[in-house]
Amino acid sequence: MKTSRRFKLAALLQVIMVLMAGCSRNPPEQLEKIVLGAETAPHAAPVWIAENKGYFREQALQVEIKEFESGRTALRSMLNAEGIDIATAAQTPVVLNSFSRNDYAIVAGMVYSENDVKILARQDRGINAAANLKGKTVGITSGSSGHFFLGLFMAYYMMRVSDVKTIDMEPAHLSQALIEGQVDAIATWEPHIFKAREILRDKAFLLSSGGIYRTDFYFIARNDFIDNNSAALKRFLRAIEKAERFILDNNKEAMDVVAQRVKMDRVVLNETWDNFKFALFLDQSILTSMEDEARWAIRNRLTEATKVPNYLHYLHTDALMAVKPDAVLIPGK
Amino acid sequence: MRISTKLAFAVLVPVVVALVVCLALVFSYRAMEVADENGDIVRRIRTSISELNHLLFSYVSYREERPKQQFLAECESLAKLIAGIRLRDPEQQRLLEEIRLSGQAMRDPFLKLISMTNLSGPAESDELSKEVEERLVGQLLTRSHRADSSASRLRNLVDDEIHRTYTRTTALIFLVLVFATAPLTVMLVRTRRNITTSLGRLRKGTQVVRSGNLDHSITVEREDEIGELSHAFNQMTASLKEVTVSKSDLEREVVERKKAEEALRKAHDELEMRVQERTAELARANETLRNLSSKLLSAQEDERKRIASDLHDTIGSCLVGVKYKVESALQQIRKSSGSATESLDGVLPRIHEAIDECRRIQLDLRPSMIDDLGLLPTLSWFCRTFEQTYPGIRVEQKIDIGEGDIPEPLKIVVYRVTQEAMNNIAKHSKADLVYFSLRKLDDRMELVLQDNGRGFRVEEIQSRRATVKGLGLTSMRERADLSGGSFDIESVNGKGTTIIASWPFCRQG
Repeated sequence: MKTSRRFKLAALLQVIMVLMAGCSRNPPEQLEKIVLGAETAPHAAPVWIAENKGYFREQALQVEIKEFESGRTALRSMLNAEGIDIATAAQTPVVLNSFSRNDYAIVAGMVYSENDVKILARQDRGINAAANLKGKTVGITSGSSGHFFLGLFMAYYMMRVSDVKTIDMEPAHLSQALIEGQVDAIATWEPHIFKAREILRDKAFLLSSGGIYRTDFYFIARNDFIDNNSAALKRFLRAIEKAERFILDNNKEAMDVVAQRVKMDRVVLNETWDNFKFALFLDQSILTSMEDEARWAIRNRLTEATKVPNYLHYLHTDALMAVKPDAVLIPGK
Repeated sequence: MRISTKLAFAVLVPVVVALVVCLALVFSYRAMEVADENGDIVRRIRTSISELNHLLFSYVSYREERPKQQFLAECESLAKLIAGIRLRDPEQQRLLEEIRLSGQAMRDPFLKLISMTNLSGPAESDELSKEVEERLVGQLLTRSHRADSSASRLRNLVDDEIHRTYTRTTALIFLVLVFATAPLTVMLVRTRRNITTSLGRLRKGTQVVRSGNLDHSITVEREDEIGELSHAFNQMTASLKEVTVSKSDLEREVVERKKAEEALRKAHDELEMRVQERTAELARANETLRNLSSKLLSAQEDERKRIASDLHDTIGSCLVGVKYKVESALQQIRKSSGSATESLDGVLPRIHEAIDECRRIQLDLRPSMIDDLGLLPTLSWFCRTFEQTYPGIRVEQKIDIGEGDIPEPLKIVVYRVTQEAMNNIAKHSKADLVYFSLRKLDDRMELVLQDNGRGFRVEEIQSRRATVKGLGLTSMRERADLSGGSFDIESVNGKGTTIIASWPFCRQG
């Protein structure tokens, strides 16, 4: 090839590259702000990863994360319009709030765990079997998944929640209460269970739950936010979806990021990490799960309502359908 | 690059492309086959989960044995299906794990539900059981739906994988074809264009050369076969030019040579004609000479004959008359006087001697016996006379021919040849035996004279000058030749001499 021809070809390639670079470069865009309320726990790993890896910024979002002790309080803050746009919470607080209001919806399931919520009891209080719980004091966070799990566990072993004395306290206080002997057992989630076990050691007895309860964690938003920020919501889910792919492909690094972000000992995280199944989803199981908890709440008079709400109205599928359509499996929606 | 290399490349590239495409197809079809198998298992998993849902509803509704049994069997079947599938994609593995956990989590609550059904207790317990059942069914439904949605998503992912594999295969084949065939096509197009242009230039060059312009040459721009061909064309044109110049010279030379050949041919023909004329003249001269020789011999014979006749008629007759007169005179004298007779008696022998000498000369010149008695008696007489003359030489004669068979002109020739040969034998051969033969063969007459004498070298005798070698052999040969016959002589020192003369009858006739 002659030199002149080479020069022309090189120049042409350069022009093409410049044009391509120009096309791919996003025009300067103002970041859209979203305030996310989340419990400082490993199950919100997709949020921590998206924050750490800059996935929100990639989606032109400036996500401010406000940390809460539990999903229940985060949800309450969001529902009370205390500056939270999106909250992460398990199904139980979502269900318990559904009896009194219907101005919010689950945008997507974020993660679920078959073994996140457990009951840890003190052997020195004579508890080394489920039946020993009868008449004992159990610490719970009322209206949380721990509360529901206690009821489910008791029923599984042919007992009622009323067969134990429950004390309502914040999740962070539960392990300390058990250690100090204020309660005989606690029904709560990780990492509180692990922390108590580490201290109590042989005195602690983990009552086998047998994987009877699946805890879901959802992204929940008020309907007005959903209606007014549908594009931002989709971009938010895209960032989460990318974070979930990162977790799947880079498990160790993801654990490091999460451990650092939630200030959790890596050993503790190792114990609990595999219980979490990170995947955006909206399927029929969410409806059946919430309906079951709604029936439990009604039966145990946690609400004055006597009818299970139609949870189809509590699901917003459009955003996830736009981001991950095959994860939306809700018949009739 | 040479054209042969390009063509080899053009042949090789499709083969390589075909191999790559085949390999891609093989691997892709294998991948699709695996994906299809996985898809089939995933579909069966979803069907199994759906069946579990139906069986659960059936059992919860009627609490009968059949759905319970089927539910537990289906749980085991689902576990086997999950154990039998191998997925590589992490997302698919995660979903399969979800299904496995959900399936596992359904079994214990269901067994619990069965045990609850078997229990019967007080009303309070019934209320508790109802709640427990409610919780268990709720959890079962949640797990069932979760498993179902996971299976659904897994199926979508597997289907997507099949689609992706197909798309990837198609794209790979397309890319291979494009990236392999595009440069090849460009190369072939350029090669075709170059070849066509070069061949066109060569064709035009050929036309120019054909029109007679041998100074035309083609510009050689390439280093491939076409370049070589162009170079060869130019060389050929140059050679053709040289050959054409040489050809003109050669043609000129050929024309000149043809002219020379023509002149030579004409000269040759003329010479031939002259030779023929000379030959004819010589033949005529020879014939004339022969006729002259023949006439000379005839004239000689005639002259001899006349002289012999004159001798006989004149001197002989006179001498005879003289003899008779002398004898008569003598008789008269004797009767009268005796003294005169003595002188006359002395004259008489002289007269006899003269008469004999006259007769001998007469016979030498021309034996009248040939004319009077014929050749054969003459030859017999000659042989007898020869034996008498030369008593040391015996003659064996064999005559095997009739007198009438001998042409008249040849009689004197045969006699003279015999006479000359016999005289030579007597003079030179020192032979004591002579074989004489005259015979008639089919088409000729043959005379043979053979002696057992000392012989001689024929070449030596023939190389002598005519004056030296004498007239013997020459006269015999001339007589035979002039009479239309042939003459041959064979002789070896110490082995005798053979003379053969023959005359064809036809030529004589």
